[in-house]
Parts: sequence; structure tokens; C-alpha cells
Amino acid sequence: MIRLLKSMSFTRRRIFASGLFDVDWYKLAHPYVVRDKIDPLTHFLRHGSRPRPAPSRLFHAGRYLGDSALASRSRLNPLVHYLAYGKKLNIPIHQAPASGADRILESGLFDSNWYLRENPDVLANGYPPLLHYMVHGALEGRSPGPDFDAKWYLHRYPDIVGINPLLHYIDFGQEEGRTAVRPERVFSIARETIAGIEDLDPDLYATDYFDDIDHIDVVDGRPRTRMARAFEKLIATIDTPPKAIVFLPWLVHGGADLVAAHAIRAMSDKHGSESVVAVICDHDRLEAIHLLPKGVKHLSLLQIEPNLSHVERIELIDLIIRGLRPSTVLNVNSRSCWDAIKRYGNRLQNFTRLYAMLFCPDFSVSGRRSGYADLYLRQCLPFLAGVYFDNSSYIDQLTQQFSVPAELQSKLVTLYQPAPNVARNNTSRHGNSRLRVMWAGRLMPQKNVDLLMRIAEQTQQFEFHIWGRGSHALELQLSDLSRRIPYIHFHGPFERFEALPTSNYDVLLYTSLWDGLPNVLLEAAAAGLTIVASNVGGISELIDGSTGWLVNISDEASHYIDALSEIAMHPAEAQRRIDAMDERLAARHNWERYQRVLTQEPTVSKGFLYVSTNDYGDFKCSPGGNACQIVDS
Amino acid sequence: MLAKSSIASLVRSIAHAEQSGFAVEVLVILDRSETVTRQVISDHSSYQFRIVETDFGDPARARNYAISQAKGKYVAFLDADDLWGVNWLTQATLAAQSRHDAVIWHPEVCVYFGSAHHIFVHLDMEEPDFCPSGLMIENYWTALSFGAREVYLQNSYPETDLKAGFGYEDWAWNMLTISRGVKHKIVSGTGHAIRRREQSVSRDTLSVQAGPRPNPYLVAYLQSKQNRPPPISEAPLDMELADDLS
Repeated sequence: MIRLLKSMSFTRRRIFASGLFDVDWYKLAHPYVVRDKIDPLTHFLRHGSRPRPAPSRLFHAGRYLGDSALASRSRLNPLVHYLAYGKKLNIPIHQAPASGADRILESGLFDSNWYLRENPDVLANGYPPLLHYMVHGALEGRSPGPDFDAKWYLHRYPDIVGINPLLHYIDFGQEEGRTAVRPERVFSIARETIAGIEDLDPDLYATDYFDDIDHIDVVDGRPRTRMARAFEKLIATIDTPPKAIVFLPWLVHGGADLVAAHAIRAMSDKHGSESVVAVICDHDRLEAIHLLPKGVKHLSLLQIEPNLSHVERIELIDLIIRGLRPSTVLNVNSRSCWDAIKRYGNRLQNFTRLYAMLFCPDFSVSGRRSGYADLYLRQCLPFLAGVYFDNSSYIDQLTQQFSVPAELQSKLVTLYQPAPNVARNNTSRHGNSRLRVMWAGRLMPQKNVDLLMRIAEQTQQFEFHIWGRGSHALELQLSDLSRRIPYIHFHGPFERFEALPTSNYDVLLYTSLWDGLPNVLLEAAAAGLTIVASNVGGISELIDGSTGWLVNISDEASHYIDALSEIAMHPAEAQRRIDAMDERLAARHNWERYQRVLTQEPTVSKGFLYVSTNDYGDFKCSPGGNACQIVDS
Repeated sequence: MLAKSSIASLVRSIAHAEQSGFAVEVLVILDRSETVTRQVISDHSSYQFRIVETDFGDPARARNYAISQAKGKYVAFLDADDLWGVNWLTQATLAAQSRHDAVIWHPEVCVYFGSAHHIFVHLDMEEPDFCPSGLMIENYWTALSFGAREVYLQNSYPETDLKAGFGYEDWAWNMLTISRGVKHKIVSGTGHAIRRREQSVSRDTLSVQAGPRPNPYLVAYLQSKQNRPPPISEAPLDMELADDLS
């Protein structure tokens, strides 16, 4: 051995001495090396860079290169790199994925003794049984043990060609419901059953039912679809059936996410953190997970099963509601959940009370109205127990647009969102210093950034501080503006409104083209900023001539400049309107009022926060799709 | 006319059971049945069938009514399209007698014929690979079950209402009974032949995207994981019934 080691190159000696190259494992993992009579280490050194085979179970070559840019750039064999450099640099190494032979051993379907008994040629040649199976047996159609009949499997499933049938079964066939052995027992019972009665019915005696027996499908009820697997995993993560489920598309830093978080917090406060589960349906984005109250569970459908299709997610939502039977369900902008209500709402309304939230219309890139209200409200409203809006203007608009009948109108509820409690520390503007104007939002067409830029460019009286991210083109334009004009400052993205230095600003400028009652206005008002906003959607319910400056001709820069000039010239009036806004927030946008509405309205279904003592079957919906009636036990 | 084969298989299975020493009564519920079916049944009147005509138009209500009228210790269902294996009644009775708890019994295999050609294998709840969540997605057992009449009396079939989106009375019943502590098991070595017609109730049910009625199956399963009492007001089968079954 010593002589052998001495005769090897330094690299080979180093690899052997490391214990990270396992010849036997390598042969089993790459049986063609044995079949083609290639020295395993030579093969590894020659092909170790690409396609990066693992040298043993102890070293994950691909992950090593992925973790270390240094190793990846070096173009060295990853193990060689690790032994030469990575070890000294403490680059971590990880276990390699199970090889085919590993998976076969783990399956328990390979029986060495049985294999040697059934294959005396292997025994006679002294060939290790598993190595023989991997190198020759699988391709020759030999069976690995009594519980996998290779000949049957290949005969029954002719789509399996040129690959190890046992590995196909382990990796795919098992989940697809394919059978590993000829189901002799099932066939025997079926034959016996039919033999006793086939003379009784022409459909049985006219032809031989078992004429092509090997191609009769044998199935059991267990579903093996991707959606079924996802549901099984999901149920395994739930210990306590929740009283409420809130469906969301994602959980990011957006207005709708905050609105959903308010409802979740209200439910958690009222019934405990275990009472509510947030289900993230459409995207695996959880950047704002901190919005959820402590102890509230969340589930991401795409984290459970990353490849779920939209249709599978709809089915899963239907199953979750029917299975867990929460007392109440709220959909905040999840398209899958809207589709589930549209498709299955007729029956789902008998399993729970379904609520949704709507805010404002929305438009596609091509300018078509394609908001959730346009796409779903008409079909879903009969099944919904209530729909909450953050403003009443949109209710009026939709009622008129769809001619919503009076009995369904009672389901549409204005739920003013609570304003945050913000500690104020506004620095007062000195004498002739410029008015400090803040603009904060997504850089999207809806927010009318073009108008903002026109306003900023047309006046030199004010200082503009612009926060946000979104359209790359708009970001570039704002950066350019910021470079050219000294009183315009583009600060880029912000994570949350409360993180902005609002105390350094005097005015929030809001230029949206369409909206509901955006949360940023509540946050700005709570922070003590004077607000100048476009009169769209439900904004006039918060901002009017007594609480701020509402601009009616919304796309004309001069009207906004006039409003800003008035604020600059009349600070006392601005302060008077801030005080009036404070009173409005206290009266209408407080937490107690929010909870009360969410508990009591719509009157007939008692609201999203209502949970009866009898969790299961405490309500009935009339067959005609009228509002749900609570039946207290 | 298809009922002729079903009745013939029933007669054969009864004969097998009687040879084994079990007495069998036959109760035929003709729920809004066609004239032809009535004639086929009356042709077998020599077997002392008790024939009752009903106007429920709902398989669940018809089953519940049948249970209320049955007199035997055990009940076995046979739908008019299907055929029992010859040894079904005998083996199911022997299996039922071997257990003292509440168990609903199913044949080990169902041979689908007519417009279908496959074999459906029933699952046994007491097998280690039984998957509880899957029953929310697929029905594991056909409606041709067997069990103590008391179990059926305590657990009525949920009515169907396709307009409201509720079909599959047998599936809903399977879930409901499990949530109440009833086990569903197979009778080893037994089989049924299930006729699939081009147009069946199941297909009507599929076309309206119906599902089983609300029931506490999954909630009870989750609570059982935590050893909590089930949420339903009805008490699970008690020991008295277990004694009756013995």
C-alpha cells in the first residue's frame, strides 16, 4: 500500500489520505465506471469539475462550488480545491445527495441474500450483490428482492425504457400509484369474485374480464397528486384548527398587507394568537412577516410545494376551508382565493363565513379595468357574508356600476382602517426656509410620478424629498432630476413609512391617479404632516378643505403648486388643518371603532371577528345565496 | 333490467350465508324506481323480500329509511347496479363478530365493469400506511358497506343536495363516522363487482362540482392528534353498544 501511495501523484495521495474519496461508494453511485473498467479516482479527477460527481457521501461537490465563488472561479476539481485551499479557509462542506444505490438501500427493496439466492452466477463469481445489481442486474431486468418484480414492472409499464426500473419506482412510480410487484393477491380475489357471479350478467360473461390481466389498472383511493401531497404536508403542520383563516397573495410592505395585518391582529387580540392562521397563496414572498402578531401561524402554499399551479392552489384553498372549517375566512387580495370563492363559493358558504376586502379599481398595463371587484364581485357576492372597503366611495361606485340589489348591498361595509400611533417630533420650519415636501410611494403609473416631476420642476420655492422604488425608468428619471436640480432629492426605496424621517418634512404630497383610501395618508396624518392629495377614490373622505388640501383637477401641476404655496404662506392655517385631521383620526380611524365594525357588520352575519362558541355548523346560508344567518347555539 | 343480476348475486350470497348458519332478511327499497325494476324485483318474491316503495329521490334518505326498517343485528347494502361476491355476507358477518368495537366493513376489492375496467382496492384504517388527509380528496370506500345496525342508526347518512353543491352521501358518511370514532376496515379475501354506467349519479355529481356535506372529519382528526375530545355534540359510540355488538 505504501509503495502504491508513493507511486501516485501528489494529488491522488492527498485525496486518498483525506478520507473524502470512497471508492466503493463511487462505484455504486457511478456503476458505468465499473462497467467500462475505468479507475474510479481517474474518472473523478477527469470529470470532477463537470458534471461534478460527488467523491463520497461526505462531500457535496456542486454545493461546495456554489458556496465558494473562489472555488468556482478556480476551475479546479472541487475536492482538490478544498484539500488545497478550502480546508484552510474553513469553507464548509456538506453531505452529498443520496446516490441511486443509497436510495435503493434506504428503500429496503434490495435484499442481498435473496439476490444471491436467485442469481447463482453472481454468487459463483463472488460479485458484491448490490454492485452487481447496479452495474448489470438492473439493466438485465433482474429483480432486486422479493418486493420488486422487475420483469412485471417493465412489462406493465412500457414507458420505462433504458433506466433502472427500481430507481424509477422509488423516485416516481411509487407516488404515481404504480405497483412494484404483480398484484397476485388482488387478481386472485378479483378472479374468485367474478368466477362466482359472472354467469349472472352479460357484461361479465360475454367477454373474459381478465383477458389482458396485466394491463388492468389496480388502484386504491389514496390520492397521489402534487396537490394531495401538499395538502398532506400542510395538515401535518397544523396542530390546532383555527377559528379564522386570512388568505393573502404574499406578505410584503404594501398597503393591502398592512390592512390584512390589522384584521389578523384584531382576531388575535380578541380570540388569541392560535385562533387565526395566515395562508400565503400566490407568491412565496414573506418580506413583511413581522407584520403578523407574535404567535400567529402562517403557511405559504408555495413553500410547502413550490411547483403548485394556480388551479392546484384553488383546489387546495377549497380543501383547507372544507377541512379545517374555520368559523370565518377573509380574503385580502389573493387571486387564488377569489377564484376558489368564484368556483366553489356555493358550497363553501356552508362551511364558513366568507369575507373579502376591496379597496379601489385597478387597471392592466393596457389600461383595462381589471381589479378584483371587476373580475369577481358579481359572481362571488352571493356567496360572501360581507365585503369590507377602506372607503365608502368605492361602495357607491360599485353599487351603481353593477346595480347591486338592496339585499346584497347590506353586505358591503365601510371599514375605516386604524391610524397608527406615531410619536411626533416635527421640527418647525424657520422663517424663510423652503417648505419641505415629501412624496413616498411605489414608482408606478398609478401614483402619477410624471405629475410629481412636473410639480417639482415647475417651482423652485420648495424642497422635494422623494422616496420609493418601482419602475426602473422612473427611478432613472428621478435620479437624473435629483442630479440636475439641487432642491429635489431622490432617496430611493424605504421599507416602511414609520422608518421615514417624517419629522424633517412639512407636507406629504400625494398624486395618485386612482386609489381607495391609501394607508400612507393615515400614516402621514398621524405623523403630523400637512397633506396635499389628488381627489380620487375615497381620499376625499379623509382629506377635505378642513383637514388638508384636496386637489380636484388631479393632473394639473399648477393646482398642487398653488396648494403648496398656500401652506408655505399660511403656516397657522396648515396647523389648524393638522389639528382638524387629528380630531378626524381620533373619531373615525381608531382601533376600537375598527374592531367594533369588524365584529358587528354586516349585521346579518355579525362580521369577520365574530366567532361563535360552537365552531362547527353554527350558521346556514339560504340556498338562493342570500346573506348568511348566524344561528347561535 | 340490470337489477336482475344484482338480485341474483344477492340470492347467491344469502344462500352461502344461510349454509353457514346465518339468517338473512331482505329489504328492498324502491326509491322512485322504474316500472321495469319493480317487475324484476317482484319476479323474486319467492325469496320473501320485504319491498317498500319510497319517494325520497335521495340515496341518503333511502339508506336511512332502510336502516330504520331493518330488523337484523347487522346491515349490508347492495345498490341495484352492483353484484356481491358469493362469500360476502358470510365473511363480513364473521369479521364483524370478531370485533367488539364499532367497525364498518368493506370488501377487499371492487371489480369495476361496464363502462369501466379496473380494480379498486379498499384501504384499511388500521394499516400503518393509512393516510387520513387523503380522504378529504378521494373517497376510500364504496357505499356497499356492512356493519352493526346500531352503528348505522347512530350515524345517519347526510342528505345530498346537488343544488347546494352536496353529493356523495357515502363519502360524507364515511368521514362523519370516522370523526365519531368508527373504524373502517376490509374483510380479507372478499370482493364486489361494481357496474359503471355511462350516465351515473356520480357523474351528475361531478358535473355540478359537488362535494360531501360539511362534517367534522379533519377537525376531529387534528384534535385527536392532541388527544382532545371531538367537537361534535353527539357522543361517540359507547361501551354499551360495543357490548351489544359482541
